[in-house]
Amino acid sequence: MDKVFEKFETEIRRGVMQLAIVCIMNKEKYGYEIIKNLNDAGLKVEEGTLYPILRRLESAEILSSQWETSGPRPRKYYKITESGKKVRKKWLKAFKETNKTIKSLEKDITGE
Amino acid sequence: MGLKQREEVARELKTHILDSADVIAAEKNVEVDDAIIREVILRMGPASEVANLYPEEKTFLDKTLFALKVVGLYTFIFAVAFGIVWNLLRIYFKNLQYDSTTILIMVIFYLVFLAIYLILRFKLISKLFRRNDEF
Repeated sequence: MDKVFEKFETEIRRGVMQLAIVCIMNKEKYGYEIIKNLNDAGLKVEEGTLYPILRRLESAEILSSQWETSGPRPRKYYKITESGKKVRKKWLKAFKETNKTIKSLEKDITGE
Repeated sequence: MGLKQREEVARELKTHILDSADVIAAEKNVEVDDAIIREVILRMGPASEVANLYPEEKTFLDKTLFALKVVGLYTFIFAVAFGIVWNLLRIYFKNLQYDSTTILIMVIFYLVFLAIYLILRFKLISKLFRRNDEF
């Protein structure tokens, strides 16, 4: 049963991760900073999974990136694009609607 | 994963590992050492699993081969269609000759239809005018 729960939790977290990332990308951030922000917000991030997600979002032109080499080490900074902002709005709407549906279904279970 | 993508991923992950190591070292009030680096790498999970999560990106060779396939298929279809049209026209216009003018017309039609096909197939116009956000 624990394995079933763990798998479900991992799938939920991965689905939500993309939405969480675009929500915090109003200003340019690099990978470690994104992980820290998400962890501070209560969303535990598997460090190995963040960068492939960022790559996917970049391929979909939801994020854009630029290497910054002036600091102590080269860093790839990400920022949300204009089309990314439109996608974020749609994702948030879809997420809230799904959340609302689950809450109403939960009421059926608890009998409230 | 192509070479360019691998190099970029490696560069980014290296920076992440060093940033994480700095934080852990600061928490422990020590210098970054091999043990801390190993700890960070372990936290990231097996390299093969991380690599599998990356989206497949076509290399320049993949894109070139794909473009050649597309153009090759189009050329084949065009040749068949042109052959059929030409033979039909020859039935009605007995004096029709296969000369330099015909070849020129054929080449012009080929290029025009190829351009239209490529624009529609790859949505080139919308890509050309899409604005890219820059920092």
